[in-house]
Amino acid sequence: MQFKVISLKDIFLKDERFRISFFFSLDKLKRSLKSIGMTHPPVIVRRNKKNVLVTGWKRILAAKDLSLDAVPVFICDEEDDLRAFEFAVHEKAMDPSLTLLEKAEVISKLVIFGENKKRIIQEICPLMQLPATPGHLDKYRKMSELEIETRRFLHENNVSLPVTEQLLSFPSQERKRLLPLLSAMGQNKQKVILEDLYDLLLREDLKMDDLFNQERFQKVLTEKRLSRLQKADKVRDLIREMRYPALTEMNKTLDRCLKKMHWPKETPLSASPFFEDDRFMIQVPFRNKNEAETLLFKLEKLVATREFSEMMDVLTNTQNGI
Amino acid sequence: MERKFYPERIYLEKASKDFPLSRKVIRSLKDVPVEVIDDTDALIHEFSMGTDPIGAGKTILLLSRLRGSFIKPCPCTPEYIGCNYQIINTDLNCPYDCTYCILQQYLNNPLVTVHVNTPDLWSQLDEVLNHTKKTIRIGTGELGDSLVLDHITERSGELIEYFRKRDNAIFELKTKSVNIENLLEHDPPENVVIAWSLNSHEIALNEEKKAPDVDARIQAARSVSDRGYKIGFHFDPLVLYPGWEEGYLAVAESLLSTIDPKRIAWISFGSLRFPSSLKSVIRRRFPDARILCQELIKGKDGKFRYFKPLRLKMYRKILGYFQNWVTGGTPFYFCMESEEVWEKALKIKPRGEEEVEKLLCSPSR
Repeated sequence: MQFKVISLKDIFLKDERFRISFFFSLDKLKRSLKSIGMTHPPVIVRRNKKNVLVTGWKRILAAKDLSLDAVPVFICDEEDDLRAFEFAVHEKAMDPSLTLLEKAEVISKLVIFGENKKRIIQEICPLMQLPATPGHLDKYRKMSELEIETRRFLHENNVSLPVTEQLLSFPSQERKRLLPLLSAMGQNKQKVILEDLYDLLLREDLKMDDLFNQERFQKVLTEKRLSRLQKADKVRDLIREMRYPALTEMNKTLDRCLKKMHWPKETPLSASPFFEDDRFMIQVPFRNKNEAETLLFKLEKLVATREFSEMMDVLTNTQNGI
Repeated sequence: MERKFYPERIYLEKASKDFPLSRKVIRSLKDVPVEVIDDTDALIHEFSMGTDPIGAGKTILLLSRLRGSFIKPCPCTPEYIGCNYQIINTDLNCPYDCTYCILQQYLNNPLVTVHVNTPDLWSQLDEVLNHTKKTIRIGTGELGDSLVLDHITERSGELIEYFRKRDNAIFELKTKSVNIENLLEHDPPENVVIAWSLNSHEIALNEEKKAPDVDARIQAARSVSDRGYKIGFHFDPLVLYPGWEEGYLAVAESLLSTIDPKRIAWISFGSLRFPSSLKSVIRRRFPDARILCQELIKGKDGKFRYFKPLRLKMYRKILGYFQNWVTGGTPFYFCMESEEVWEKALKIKPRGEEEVEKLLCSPSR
């Protein structure tokens, strides 16, 4: 490997065969280049009498933005693309800020350069801290082949593998339609909405457009007063209600009954998770004997009412599948 | 009729080649190429590197020793009532490719595997049964199908003859197969039950790939019953889908018109349930499977199962189809259900698994 300072114009940036980073902001890097210069020279190889960048895309693009004339580089004399790319792999493996998409790009490039799949699974995936099975390998390749909007979303939100896997199960057009909603949510909510949506569309034999064109969805999606997050949350709730109609009805029944009874908020009544147990629970938080007596007295009176008996009958019958 | 299983290749563990069962299997599959291997773990690892190890494993037969115990208590599931069942792990995996199969996630080994060290099986069974005073229910068919390999291994006959002399055990062979020729050659002992896993025609067709259709299973049960065996049925997993009522009614009617209830040892019901880790396996292998799309919530054991009112509705409805058998004393039980569901659907409130065991081991049956 030879160290050299070369003119920026002599680097042939149109050849992106080794490039794995596509979406980034250069501001921080430019500030650093301005103040201390390039401390970590990129690696280039010679291909067809041209200098092709192997590592250091961000650094070179930042240097270009700053209109620098020349940059220090290492010239690698490796003629085989796969072996040359190993430099990028090892450099990237050390980078803690690498997103899942960038890691997927690394894996995908290795496959394209003809690396043995077994080696990728056994050596490279662990090096990149990626789950390593043949199934995962397929997913990394699919990720790198996604449309640009989705790749940008995956990168900018550093989307986790489970969410990415869910997203991959939708066709391209549907994925693109989902991105504005998903970008307003955290990863847990993203996973839930994608799972529910996939199951719902499959069960009801619907296309996403058919669903989102329904009046109840349109009302939310076109409401200008709602923020992106509010819209996303409302859409998620609508999907959940449709995905779990009986559970939703049961929850609504409980809410209705409690409302009708003016059930005191300070002693919340709740069912077991998903009503799986037939017991209900009332929380009675208190600070002293007086408070405890007052709350229990209030509850005793409530429990003795006709409305409470009716509520229990309704809930028991619904729970019993009647 | 069922297309009998013939593997594309046999892998024979070197240390297993002198077991009589290895020789028998290789003799009966003389056209199938055999490769002797030193290390089964390396083979399993190699297979696991494929894109669909589970699917690929269904075409391969591995003959190897089981190094641990053949007999284990059924793990059941926490927070729900079990039945104190003991399982015998003679084989692992099976050639059928059921969408919901827990083995897709439960086993690290994707190959259809026959454990050939039968002498260890007998000594371990002796050890358990010689020290058991009560009657135990024990059976194969938990980590593989009890009969699907029987034309190759002829294991059913050996097990039947073993258990004939063991009156403190009720032995069950559990299957979807119609591979019953060997069974018919043996005199049926009183303490042996041949049980079929049943489902609606739609579920069997769409979600139990390569398994015989339901009518064929019921006919096989009839033949075995006519031969004098006690029989059992497991409606497990019961699956909700549009038209499930009619679907299960059709199977119930077929059963009611074909089988003499006096010959039935038990019928179990269990609704679809699975750990969350299985969901991603199913989605990967069967992306269009709709069985994951109904109202499955997380139960007390953390596994997905249908929302309770839906389970109760389904159990009541299907039990209703068998009302005459229920009132006539045919033992029905639930697999992995709560005390509450037992009571509400079956009007029985078992206090723990010992009571369920007692119900199913009753000497009157």
